[in-house]
Amino acid sequence: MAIMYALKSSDNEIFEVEQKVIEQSETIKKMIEDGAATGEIPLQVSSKTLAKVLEWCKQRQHKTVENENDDNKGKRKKERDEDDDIKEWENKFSDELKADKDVLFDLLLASNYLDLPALLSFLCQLVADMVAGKMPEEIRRMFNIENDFTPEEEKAITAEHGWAFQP
Amino acid sequence: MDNIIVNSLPAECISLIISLNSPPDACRLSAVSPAFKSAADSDTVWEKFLPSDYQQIIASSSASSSCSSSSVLLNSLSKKNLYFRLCNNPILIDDGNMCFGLEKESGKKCYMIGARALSIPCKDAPTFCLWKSIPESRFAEVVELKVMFWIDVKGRIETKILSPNTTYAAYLVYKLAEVTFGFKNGTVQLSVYFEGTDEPEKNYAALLDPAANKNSRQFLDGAGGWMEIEMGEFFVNGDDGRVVCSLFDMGGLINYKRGLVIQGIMVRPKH
Repeated sequence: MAIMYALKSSDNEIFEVEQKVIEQSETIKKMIEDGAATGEIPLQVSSKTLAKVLEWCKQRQHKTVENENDDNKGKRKKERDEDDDIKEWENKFSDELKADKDVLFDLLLASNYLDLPALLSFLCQLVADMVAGKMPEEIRRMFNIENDFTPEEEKAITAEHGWAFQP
Repeated sequence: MDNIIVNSLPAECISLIISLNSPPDACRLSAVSPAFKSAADSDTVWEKFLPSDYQQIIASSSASSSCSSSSVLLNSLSKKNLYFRLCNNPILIDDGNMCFGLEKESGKKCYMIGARALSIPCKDAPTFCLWKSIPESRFAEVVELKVMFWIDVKGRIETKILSPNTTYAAYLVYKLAEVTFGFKNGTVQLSVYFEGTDEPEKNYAALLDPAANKNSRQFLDGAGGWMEIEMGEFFVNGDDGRVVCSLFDMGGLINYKRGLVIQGIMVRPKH
């Protein structure tokens, strides 16, 4: 019987999760090891974001368990199919995040806070791909970032690296 | 509100996002906001854009460079400044016989093999080869090939010192001497091949006189009237090997040539 833990979001929603799934978070793993995880584990993460975090962790967990159960026979083909499945799942996951950037950044913060290196680097790559080749103004608009530079400061930066700003 | 979320991202997080992109992306991102600027200018980001063995390369420059403090100076720069310094001011390595720099857009390695490091027949016979030092060269000396009944100049470069998974091209950096003869109508053979493989048939005949060849063009350095012409291309997949860049001509007594000044052979990524 799998050991279950109860995670409590910042808006007081409870999520029941298997230990194996949630142990991917180094932060929570450490809490469990230290015996600090008795009863509900309160987290500074909204329920909406926590649901996404767990979606990611379950998908990763699923993948690991299946690989352990495989024997070598037919493994190659199965791995190939699985890789396609994971790719497809990741694409869907990415598309949802691209459409809702608040969740994307909340998730980035959460993956940093929960110490989920695989999710963190996945998200950083996602954002990196989103900003690649874009001009500063487009990036500001995309992420709703206010331009805190004075016109002079901005002019100086663009002048310093004029070559990089040519469309 | 959204701004707060972006600004609350840890700096390492923004640095990681930026370092997953290219140097021009990092420059553009530095203009987004002050928080992005400090992350985009950080050593963490630019260390990723520098070649992994940049410290070794810089260390090998101190012995050869005329300015003995150069490696000290380079090491004192921020990683971003070092990056652009290596793009704009290539450094001399290998006892001053080789020049190293970076391609600005990608951070990939560029080298120029100086004339002294090329294999040139009769290189110490003053009748055929005149070594001179001119201010508008990257190297202490360039060579003027005087009377040439045949030309057989080769530059060799180890592929392991180049950036992997990259298509490179080699360029002859040259100009014609004041007294010159035979390059307007007489072609030379240019080729690039891996050492140990048979010389390819991909030799191609080129006219070195710019008046006769629109493929030769101003060398990127600008000064000194140097020109460059592509000798051929090759792909670096990360395996060990040596590439030979060859300039050849069997002019003989009838089609002999005169007055070719060579600064070196440039090897840089091709786009």
